[in-house]
Order: sequence, then structure tokens, then C-alpha cells
Amino acid sequence: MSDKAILLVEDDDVIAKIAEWRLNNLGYRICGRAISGAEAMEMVIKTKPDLVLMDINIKGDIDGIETARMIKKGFNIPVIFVTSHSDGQTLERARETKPDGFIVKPFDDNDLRVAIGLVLK
Amino acid sequence: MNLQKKTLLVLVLSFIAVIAFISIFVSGILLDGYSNLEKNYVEKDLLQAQNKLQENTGSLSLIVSDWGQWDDSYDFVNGNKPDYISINLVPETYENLLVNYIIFTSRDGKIVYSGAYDPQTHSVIPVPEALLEQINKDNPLLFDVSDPGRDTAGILMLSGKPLLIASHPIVHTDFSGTPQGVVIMGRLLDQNVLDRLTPGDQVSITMVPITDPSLPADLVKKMQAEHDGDPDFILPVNISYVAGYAVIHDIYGSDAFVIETIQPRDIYSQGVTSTIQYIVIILGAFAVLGVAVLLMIDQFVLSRVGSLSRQVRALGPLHEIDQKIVLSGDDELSGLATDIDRMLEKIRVTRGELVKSRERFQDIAELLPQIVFEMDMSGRLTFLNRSGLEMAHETLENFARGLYAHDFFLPTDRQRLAENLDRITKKRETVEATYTFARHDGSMFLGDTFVSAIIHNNEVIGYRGIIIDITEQKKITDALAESENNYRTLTESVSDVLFSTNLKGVITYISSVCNRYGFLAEEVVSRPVLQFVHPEDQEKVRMCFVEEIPKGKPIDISCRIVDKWGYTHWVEAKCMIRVNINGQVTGINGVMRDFTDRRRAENAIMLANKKLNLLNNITRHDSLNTITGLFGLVDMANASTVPEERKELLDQIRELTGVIQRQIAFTREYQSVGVNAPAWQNLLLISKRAIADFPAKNIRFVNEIKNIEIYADPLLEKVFYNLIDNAIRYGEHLTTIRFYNEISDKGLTLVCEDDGVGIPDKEKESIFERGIGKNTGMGLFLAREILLITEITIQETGKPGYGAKFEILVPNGAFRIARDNPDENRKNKHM
Repeated sequence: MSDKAILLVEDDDVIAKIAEWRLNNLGYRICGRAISGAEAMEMVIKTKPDLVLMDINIKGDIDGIETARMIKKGFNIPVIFVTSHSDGQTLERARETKPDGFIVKPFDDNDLRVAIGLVLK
Repeated sequence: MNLQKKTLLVLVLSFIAVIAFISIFVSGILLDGYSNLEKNYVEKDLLQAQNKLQENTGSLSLIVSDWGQWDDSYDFVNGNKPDYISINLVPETYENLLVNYIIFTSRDGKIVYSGAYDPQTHSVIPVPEALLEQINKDNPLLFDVSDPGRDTAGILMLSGKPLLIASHPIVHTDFSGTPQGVVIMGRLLDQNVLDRLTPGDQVSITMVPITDPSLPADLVKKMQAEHDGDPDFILPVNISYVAGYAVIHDIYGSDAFVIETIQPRDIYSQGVTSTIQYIVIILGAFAVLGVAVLLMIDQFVLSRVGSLSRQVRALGPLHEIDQKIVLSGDDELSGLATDIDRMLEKIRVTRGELVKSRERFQDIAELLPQIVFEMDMSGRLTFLNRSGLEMAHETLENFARGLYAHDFFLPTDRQRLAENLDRITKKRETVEATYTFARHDGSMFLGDTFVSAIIHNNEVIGYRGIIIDITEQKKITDALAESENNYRTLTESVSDVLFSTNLKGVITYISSVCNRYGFLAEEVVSRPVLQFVHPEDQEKVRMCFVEEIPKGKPIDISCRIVDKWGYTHWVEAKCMIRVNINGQVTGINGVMRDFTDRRRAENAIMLANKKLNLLNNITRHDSLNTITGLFGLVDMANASTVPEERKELLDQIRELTGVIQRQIAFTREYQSVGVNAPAWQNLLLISKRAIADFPAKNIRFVNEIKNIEIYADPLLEKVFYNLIDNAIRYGEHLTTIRFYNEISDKGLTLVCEDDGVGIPDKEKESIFERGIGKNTGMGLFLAREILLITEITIQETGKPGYGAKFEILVPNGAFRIARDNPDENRKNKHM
């Protein structure tokens, strides 16, 4: 079991449940789950995660891209986007935040391991 | 009568008038003056006579006073002096005192002594009874003897003769003692006395009783009327004598007699003589002056004017003027002669120019391609130019023999010709008319005539005019009219609008097809194009006129126009520059085509593509999310060893698979949106069809939608279906669903309301979002998307707890009143 804590930002319960199950299998600790940008910021402050897995399309007024921008700027915590979006405009916006990784849905354990391993090594 | 005689006559008449005026004026002034002077003299003489009569009266009064204020008289009256009479009252006393009567009375008026002097017999005789009868207490002579100093004197008429009479109370010489009576003395006023009253040698005085008939009656009346003022009256007796009259009153105050003075009118005669002399002198002076003036006028004016007149009269006819006017001297008349000479010179020059002008006119008339003619009142042609001869196929010989205008007119035109000539004669105006002219060889031509009157000495003596052969022009005009008719038929048969504007963008022509936009061509012409252009496109069109058109290139422009009812139409205009014969751009000619429906379809397709792209992204996103979950659940199920947990995971896998199925089903429905082009659809028909899909259980449908068509996606019926389905699913205690429509300035509002539980305020916006809702969350989302294809919007405005109310707003231009009755159509189809 790694001592690295990961904050999961995902508004879909099923996806969140799957992600959490896979991360646990990979040995990571889930320090919390947020379903909106505001909640994510609150939990970053509270749990101080080593990594944030960020869904782009989340609930609330602030989407995942804007939330990732604030986390990286305010806390310098690496953020990996988890998304099913493939349109160029959304991806370009995400790229401008200089994310630490992209995981494209549907993903499996290997996708998570490679992406997180690259960030946390 | 020549000028000299007139002048003489005027002078003589003026002379007579002046003399008459002076005579009347002078005689009036001078003779009046002399008459007044004469009157003054007569009045003075009358006054002098009266004064002398007064002096006589005074002297008699003094005598009586002397006798009355005497002790002897006092004693005598008292009877104490018996010899008084014999001593004092002797005839010599009468003569010395120049009295005719002496009377003494006692205090009580009783006659003590009376005596009269008879100059014939030089003796004292008795006093006439007539006098004695007047000596009584009522007589003023005896009036109040109590005053010893009182004298009374005056005139007393005695038997028609005037008697100068005076009385005095009898007192002592020193005025002492009570008056014992009165002494009265009388003196007859005979001619001798009057002669003494005469003021001059030439004046004669007579006394005339006021009742004397020789006195003028009106004079007597005036004298009696002016009794109080005692005026004097002056009357001319004749040209030589004048009379003056003064009334003398007696002691009773009554008119006694009239003193009449007669004297020669020396002063007046002198006045008459002076006046006549004066007038004669003036007459002579004027006669001399008149003759002198007449001679001078004749010498310096009349004879010279006569000479000038004779020379001018001798000039002869105007066109033969060659003499000169000569008049010696350097005055105005000689100047006038010079001016006349100059004027004659001008006339000579003008006459020459006139001749040249006439020749020029004839040359021009001969050269003109039009017919130029003149004719007299009988219609005979007096002039016809070369073109006229050629056009009429006539020769100079025929013209010389006589050609008549009427012969060239068709019989059917002659009445109109006569009326027009009559109008020219009476109104003196140029008349324009078109006639068909017939030549003698039978050929004809059409001509426009312009005819006016030839006027000489204010009398119409003939007609002059031109004729323009318009035979060819008429053919061209007819052909042009036919061409224009064809052109008009063509422009009105095409659906495109043809138009022209000037450089300022003002419409100068538009085909009648424009009435499809609610305008008549007449009301569009002369108005700027920009008035019909949509405000958002006006700048584009304006810039086109400012920048593009001056460059002279063809223009293609698309913009929106607004019809009379406020609806917007998309049009594309292809314009060509119009230039005049000088190559200058004068405006544009254009064709305007309405592509509103195509534009709407393009917009709808564009929007549909956009929506499909969006749907593609969303669906992929959702599907990938779901697949992610599926993969995870499958992995979890594989990893699980607990049968219950594995079953639960498999259930979740089934559920997620159902989600994917619904997503796929939705994409099948949604992909139809915008696939087919929007079309005009009858709302009433669509709504009835949708209602028919819900066999009524306990729900009442009220459909009040009018027979209206809207431009919408072909899936419009799905909107009605989803609204009804939504109401039935979530209305809970729903009993009624009602459809109706309203028209406002915003457009057509289609309303679907029910009496169910309604929509909470916080959900009014989100219910149209995808995935929101208790079922699939796609129904209202799909309805909104279908409507938006043609810019139709939908919102929920119901009151929570009282039912839902969906308002669908169809913008202006996207709805119209249906021409056909859908029910009728359906019946027809079934038949």
C-alpha cells in the first residue's frame, strides 16, 4: 500500500465507485471524493492530497478544468484529468492548465497505474 | 379747329372769366364799402336832427322852468296877482318865447289860465279843447307837483300834428313854498321848426305820421318792433337818393311820428364811378396782355408746331420715308424735330432689318423639314414652304393657282378643324392638334399641327402654323407601346420583383409583384429603398449605394426587407448600373428575389447540424461514462467471490446497459430533428393528431387553436405529444388539458395548460435540460430543440399547485392564417 493520497473529483457515483475500487487495488489511498469544484477546493485544503484525479464535466458552476487551474495555482498539487471529451475545444482548454496527465474514459487499472505512476514517481 | 384757334379761344374765355370774376369781386367789395360809408353819413344826419329836436325841447323846458319858478306866477296862481296876465301873458310874450300855448293850472289841476297865440292875427286866442282835455291829473305834465324842481317836456300829438310841450311846478323864485300848480307851454312843430333841425343844405327833413301810408309797410313794422332800441333805418330811395328814418315818441311813450331825411347819394355814386373805372382799367390791361401773349405764343410755339406738323404730315407712307424734318432754332421744338428725325432714321433701319428678318424667316421656313404655312380666313394658302409642297405632292404652279387647306383634311376631321380655327380666332391662342392629311393623289400622312392667328390691327386676318409629319413616329410609338405592354406583362408574370432607383436610392420604378409585401407600386415609387430595408441591414444597403454603385460594377446583395405588416423577408437583389446617353450613372435597375423560405431552411439545417454535433459529443461522453462504469463493474464482478455481491454488480451492469439502450433510442429520435426541411404546418391539424394518440380516460381535451399555420420542423407533432405526455405523467390530479393561441406584437403564442400540480418555480428552467425529469429527462428537451430549429421558443409560466402552462412563442413571419380548412381537406380526402 502506497502512502500517496489521491483526491477523486467525480460527480457520477458509478464512475466514482469504480475509480475508487481500482485505485485501492493499485495501492493508493483515497483521501476523499468531491462532486463539484467548490467541494474539491474544500477537500484539497482539508486533506492535502498528493494527486487529484479530476473529471472535467462535474456539477456546479465551476467545471473540472477551472477547478484544476485553481488547485495547481494555489496548492501546486498535480492534477490528472479523467474525461470522455474528445472535442478539440475542451481538450485545448484543459491543455492550457498544463495538467500532469490525461486519462481517457473508459479506463482500466493499467491506464490509472501508468498515469499516476508517471506523476508520483 | 387748329391749334391757333384753340389757343385764341382759350385765351378769350380765360379773359372773360377773369374780368367777370374781378368785376364781381371788386364791385362787391368797393360798393359795399361805399354803401356803409353812405349809411354812416345818413345815420349821423338823422342823429343830428334828433339832437336838434332835443335841444328845442330843452330850450322850451328852460323857458317853462323860468316861468314856473317865479314869485309872480306863484302869486298869480294863488289869486294874489290879478294883473299878471295883462302884464306878462301878452302876444309879444308868445312871439318872444316862440311858443303857441301857455297854460297855468292850480295845484288840483284846475285851469287857471290858458291861451293860444294866433300868428295870423297876432292875438291870443283860446286853447283848443283837444289840448285842454289832455290837461288832467293823468297827464304826465301835471304829474306829482310836490317836487318843485321837476321838469317835464316832450312831444304831444295834437290833432295829428306834433306839439313840443313842457311843464314845471309853480314855486317861489327861490324854490320855496309848496308848488301851487303847473305852468305848461307848447310849441307847434311846423316846417319852420323842422328847417331849423336840418343838418345840411342837401338834407331835407320831414315829419311823417307813423300811420302815413306813404311809409313802406315793412319799414313801419320793423320800426315798431324795434321800439325799445330806437334804431335808425336807412333805405335807398333810388339810385340818386337815400332816406333815413327815426321814430319820435310822445310824452306818453307812444310812437308819435317819423323823422325822414332825404339826401342825394353822392358817396355811393362816387363808388359806382370808381368801380367802373377800375374795371375798365383792368379790362384794358388784360386785353393788351392777352394780345401780347397770343402773339408770342403764335410766334414761338404755334407757328413752329404747325410747321413741324406739316412736315411730319408730308412724310408719306412708312416704307418711303426719306425726307428730313427741319425746324430752325435751338429750343425744345427744334429738339423735338431732331428727335423725330432720329426716330425716322431708326424706323428706316428697323424697316431694313425687318425686311432682312422676313427674308431670313422665309429662308428658314424653306429649309425646315416641317410644313410651314399661312392661310387667309377663307382657307386659301398664302404661303407654303418647300417641305409643304413636297409633303402635299403639289407644285408651285398649283400653289399659284390656289390651294385650300380644307382640301387636305379628311371629311371626318373638318368639323374638328373648324372648331379649332374658331377657338384660335376667339381666344387668340395657339392650338395643337393631330390630323390625318389626304393628298390629291389619295395618299395620306399623319401630322401634328400648331396653328395660331395672324393678327393685323387687332383683327384676325388669317392663320399661320407648322405641321410635323408624325407618321413614322406614330408607328414607332405604337411599336413602343406594344413593347411596353409585352414588357409589363412579362414583369408582372414573374415572381421576382423588378425595380429601378436613382443614385440616391429613391425607387423610380417597381413591378406590381411588390403587392405581395402589402404595398402598391404607386405608394412605393418615390420612396427611398432604405425605408423598406430591415434596420440591421440598412447600413449595408446604404454603403452599397455610397461605395459600390458609383464604381459602375454589377451588384449582388442579400438583405432583409420588412413588409407592410412588419414581417421580415430575406431577399437577394441583382442590380445593374443604369447610364444615360452621356455615359453617366443615373441609377440602378435590379431584380429582387425572395429566398426567405430557403434561408429559413438553411438556418434550420445549420442549426440541426450543430445540434447533431452536440448530440454526438454528448452521447459519446455519456456512453463512454457508462461504458467506463460497465468495465469497472465487470472487473469488480470478476474479482468478487461473494455471490451476493456479484449479483448486485451484475444488476448494476444490467441497469447501465439499459441506460445505454435509452441513450441509443434517444439518438434515434433526436437525429431526426432538422433532418427534414421545416415546412408550413397547420396547428389545428397537428394538435388534433397528437390528441388522438391519447385515448381519453378521465382527461378532457379543450382545443381552441385557430386555423393557423406555422413554419416549423416536421417533428412539430412530437412537441404536442411530449407536452401532453408530460402533463399526464406528472400532473397527478390532472383532469383537463387545454390548447389555445394568442396573437400579439411579439408574434403568435401557442398555449398548452393543464389543471395538474404544476411545475415548482425552481424547476421551470431546468425541465428543458437534457436528462432532467422523472422519466427519461428527454421529452421537454427534445420539444425545445425541435422548436428552436425555426427560432420558436418555449417556456413554462404556470402557477405551481394550479397546473402547468407552456407558452410557445412563434415569431412574426413564422406563422400565417391558413387558407384551407384542415377539416374540409380531410373530408375531401376521405371522399
